[in-house]
Amino acid sequence: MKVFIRNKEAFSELNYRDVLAYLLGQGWREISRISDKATVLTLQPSEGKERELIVPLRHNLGDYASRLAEVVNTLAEVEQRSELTVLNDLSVAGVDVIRIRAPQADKDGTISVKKGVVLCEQARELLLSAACAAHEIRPTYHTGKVTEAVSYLDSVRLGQTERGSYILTFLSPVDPSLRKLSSELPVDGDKDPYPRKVTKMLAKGLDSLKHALVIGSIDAFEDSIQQGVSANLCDSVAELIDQGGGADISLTWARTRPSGVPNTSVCFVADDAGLLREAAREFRSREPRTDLLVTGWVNSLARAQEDFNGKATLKVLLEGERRARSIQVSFPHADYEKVIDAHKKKNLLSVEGDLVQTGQRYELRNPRKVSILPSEDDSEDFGEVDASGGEL
Amino acid sequence: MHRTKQMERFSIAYIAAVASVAGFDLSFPPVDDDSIDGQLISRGIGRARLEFQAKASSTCDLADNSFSFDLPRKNYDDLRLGADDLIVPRVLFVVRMPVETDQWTEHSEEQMILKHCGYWVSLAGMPEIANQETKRIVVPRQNQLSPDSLASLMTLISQGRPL
Repeated sequence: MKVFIRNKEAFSELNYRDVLAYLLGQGWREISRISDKATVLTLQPSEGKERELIVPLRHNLGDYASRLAEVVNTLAEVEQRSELTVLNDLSVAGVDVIRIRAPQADKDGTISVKKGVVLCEQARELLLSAACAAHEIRPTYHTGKVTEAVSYLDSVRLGQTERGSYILTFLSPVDPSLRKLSSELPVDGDKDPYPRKVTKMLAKGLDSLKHALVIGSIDAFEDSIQQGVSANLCDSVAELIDQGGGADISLTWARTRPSGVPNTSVCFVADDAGLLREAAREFRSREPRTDLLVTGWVNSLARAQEDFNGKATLKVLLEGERRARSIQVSFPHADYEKVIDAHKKKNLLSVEGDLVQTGQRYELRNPRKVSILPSEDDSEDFGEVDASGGEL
Repeated sequence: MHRTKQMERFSIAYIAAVASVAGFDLSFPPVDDDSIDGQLISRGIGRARLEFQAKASSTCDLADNSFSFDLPRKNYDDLRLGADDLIVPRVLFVVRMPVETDQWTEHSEEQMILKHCGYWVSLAGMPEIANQETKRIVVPRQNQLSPDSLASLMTLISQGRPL
């Protein structure tokens, strides 16, 4: 169905930079300027006569909307599409678009309000997890504490839903490239602005997540952490799947800033949710407990005292647990004497660090503030006894 | 057809006839615009363009050198935008016709006459008006809309000169 737009105001909101970037990307070429007001572009289509367009170069012109209306009208004719579709494409030329489709929406493309609200919330969490990963790679995040990620999300817009099942669209604005769009120079991802880093991280994370699901092992999920997969990402995708009977997630890049990577599309099915939640649980269980103060005994030294290399095993009772655990620690050189002394005299040692669990093994990283706890006067002890219980 | 519509259509027909003789394309805006009725485009790439509002009148009296026409305020404000504010210049065409509809044309096998005459006037740069619903426009009788005068207007536009 071709739709023709008659309301001039529909074109007032278009950004002329986005329009220009779109046209250049479609093969139109600039031939002249009308002072600082407009540029004239032409196109020789494969069929038909040469076409000409005038594109404004600033907003504060009395015929800004009229000129862009002509652009849309001409493009619709040249590209054999409806004006509405062309207008939509021009409207998003300056944004990366994330689309999340709920495959099991009703035939009329609607879903319940309850599910719709959850879908929106989880889509937000999805973006937030990618934003956190773009800031720093970690298996889990306290998303609200990553300031840059939260600020980024303030710039993301919720677009109009699209026909075709129930489709949420999110518009992530990205600064246009200053390079000519026809440039064949490779895109340098390190120079991407943060919003583009976020969307690229989301694309990479979703691809890796899908790959890990195919393999189905926790190792595969762990290997994907460096690609932006986190417990947060797993949980949000799992919830999207539950609400939508699956989840089809796609990304298209802003035409005003070539990404150097193809558009992404990843499909998740209902069965994926369980495995994703399990992966999220694993990630969270292994999350380092940072700035943890532990107290315990130096159970063993990795090497004899004279060859001590700092590695020791502590026996520690962690808060909330009923059994003492063995924790591996690599102490800095400055603390060797304290550790050896505590081991020799069986004194309690306290140390602060970041506790990391890998499988069944616990390690305290970045040990600091090592101190030997003073013991009580030995005369208060009961005397030693022999094997029969008699006092020695 | 309502008389107002008839007058409007007749004025467009007059302009179209002049434009076709002058060799200019006539197009109509793809969107609803109260102040712009059409656009004239010269041929070739990098072509000059001129947008116009067409008005029709059967009641304006001719003075020695001019006649007056009352323009609604909105149209006046849209047409008085100057060169700095518009990419495509705008002009007002006023087609003056007889009161009686059956006298608008004279037809024979030899010729078709359109009565009476069309005129052009540029309002670019005119001052803002306050507390008025209409603006009385003075249209010089020498500004007749003909193929030659239209060609001159388009030449001025292509040279970036004021109308």
